Amino acid sequence: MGSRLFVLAGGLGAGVSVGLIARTRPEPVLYVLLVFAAAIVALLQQTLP
Amino acid sequence: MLRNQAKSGWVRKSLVFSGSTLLAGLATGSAFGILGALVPQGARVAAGSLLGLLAVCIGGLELLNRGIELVQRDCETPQRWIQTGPYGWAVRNGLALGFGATSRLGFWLWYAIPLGAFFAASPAWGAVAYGTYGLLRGGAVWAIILWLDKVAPGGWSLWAVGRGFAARTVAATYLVILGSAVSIAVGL
Repeated sequence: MGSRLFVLAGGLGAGVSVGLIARTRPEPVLYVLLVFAAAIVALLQQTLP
Repeated sequence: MLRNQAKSGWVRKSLVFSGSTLLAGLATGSAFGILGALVPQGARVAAGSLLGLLAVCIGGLELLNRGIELVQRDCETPQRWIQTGPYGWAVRNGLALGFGATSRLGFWLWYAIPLGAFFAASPAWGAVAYGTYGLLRGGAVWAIILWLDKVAPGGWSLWAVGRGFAARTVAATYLVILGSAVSIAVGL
């Protein structure tokens, strides 16, 4: 349940960000997406054996 | 008294470990940002848009269960580092995990961090992105020690390893999203 909510929230947030980029192309949004990517990878790597 | 001392020892070691991962992330991200700034913007835009498309392809294939084998040094950090003592181990392990590239990466999405820091061409944004990675990679130890190990059925490690497929799906989905965003922002 928790992971589904995480995916849903992440998907929605990323979808909105991509929409913003498509409309206005602001570089900061891209940087924020990069920071999110870094956070997601760091957390997902906790699942590695 | 003894229990408190033992706890205090773990706290110090965890602080050293998570501080080292953060430091490694900040330093590496700044370095990538500085290196990126040396490359002309036109070249960065061209390469960035190509890599964005590549990210969409790799993430898409992963989601279709046709993933490409990850280029990585598929190993843990050296066990001999334990012989350098608890603090020596915490520093070395922290620096290695905060940097990331010398041990198991697990996900193609990892490459977005160094490449993103490079193509951002900004030491500050590079440090923020890679620093976030270092902070959470090492900082997660606090969540595990203080909370997750108690609430996860059978302990955190067992619970987390069983979520490998979900983790790969999340990483691949985000790779597609990030690649699309990069392609839209710099390529189209």
